[in-house]
Amino acid sequence: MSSLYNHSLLPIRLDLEAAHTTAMASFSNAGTWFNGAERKEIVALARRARHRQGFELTGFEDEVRDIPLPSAVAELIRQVACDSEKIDKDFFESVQSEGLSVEQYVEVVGLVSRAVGIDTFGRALGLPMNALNNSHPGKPSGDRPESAVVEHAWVPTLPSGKKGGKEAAALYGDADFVANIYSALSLVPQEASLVMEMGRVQYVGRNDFMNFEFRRSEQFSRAQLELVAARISALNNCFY
Amino acid sequence: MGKDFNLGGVVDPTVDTEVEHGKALLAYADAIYANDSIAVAEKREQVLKKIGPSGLVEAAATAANFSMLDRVANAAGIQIEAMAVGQTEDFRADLGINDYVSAANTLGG
Repeated sequence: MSSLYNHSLLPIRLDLEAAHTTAMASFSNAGTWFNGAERKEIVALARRARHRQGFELTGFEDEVRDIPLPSAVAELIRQVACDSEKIDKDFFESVQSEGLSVEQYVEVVGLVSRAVGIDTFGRALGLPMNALNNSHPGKPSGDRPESAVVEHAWVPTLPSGKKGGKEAAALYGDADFVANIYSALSLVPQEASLVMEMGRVQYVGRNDFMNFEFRRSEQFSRAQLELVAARISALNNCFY
Repeated sequence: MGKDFNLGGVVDPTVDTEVEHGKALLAYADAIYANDSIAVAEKREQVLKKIGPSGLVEAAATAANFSMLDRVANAAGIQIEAMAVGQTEDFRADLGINDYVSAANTLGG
């Protein structure tokens, strides 16, 4: 695996770099409902939308290749990338009425959200944009968890514990409780898993969540961490 | 955490959060969110001077994380956990959080 951040003089943790490297690779590999070329195109379209909105990425390169995608995908990408705070249930339903399946919806949300996360990290530190890898051949797996149900979100999610059965155990481990944010994309376990891993290395792991003394750097306290988190969420008008 | 902080500063820049270097961190978060790359560079330097390089990386990682998770939450329409609804009731209205579009997922309306 090539190093994403070896050019940086900043002390970027290896686990953080590894999670971002894995995420970057995932953008160009076959997923669950889209193939590698389509997934790469979705991320490229999200970056283009952000760039046009004025979110500068150092060394931005437009990697859109006009790969055909379902018609509703373009607006979903733009909305998640640039205006997620305006998404409501009507929008969610309208996208589906245009022919996008809820499983495809979840995969697009995961791809765009993870890409914005990585690009935000680079933008925050003044790092150059990470180019997308060449897409890899392969068919989408089409794996849909049978235990997924509409429970605490518009989209079906995989319940934790016994209710979710083996599928939940494979995704959540032995946890009886999983925060709604981490089960939000569990209809597409691959996306949920990558979001959870990024959450663990960028924020706080499950085991340290209630440890208010937790800190990865002597220079950055839990209070400072939560302050930045709360401010970004307020700016994103995120009630959760 | 052993110390109380003023959450009001998260939504009102005139309020002191009482978090160490809170003002610089909030300004950095604002610049990351906004589309002004000059401001990002300027605020990044200020944070670097105050909390050093590893602190700066952690602040950037936190901003990245919530830029990701907020999108997931807003687009998936998730509710906040039942136990958190009551725990947050006392400050949600004060902070204006109940007015967010995504509040409807938990509170209805």
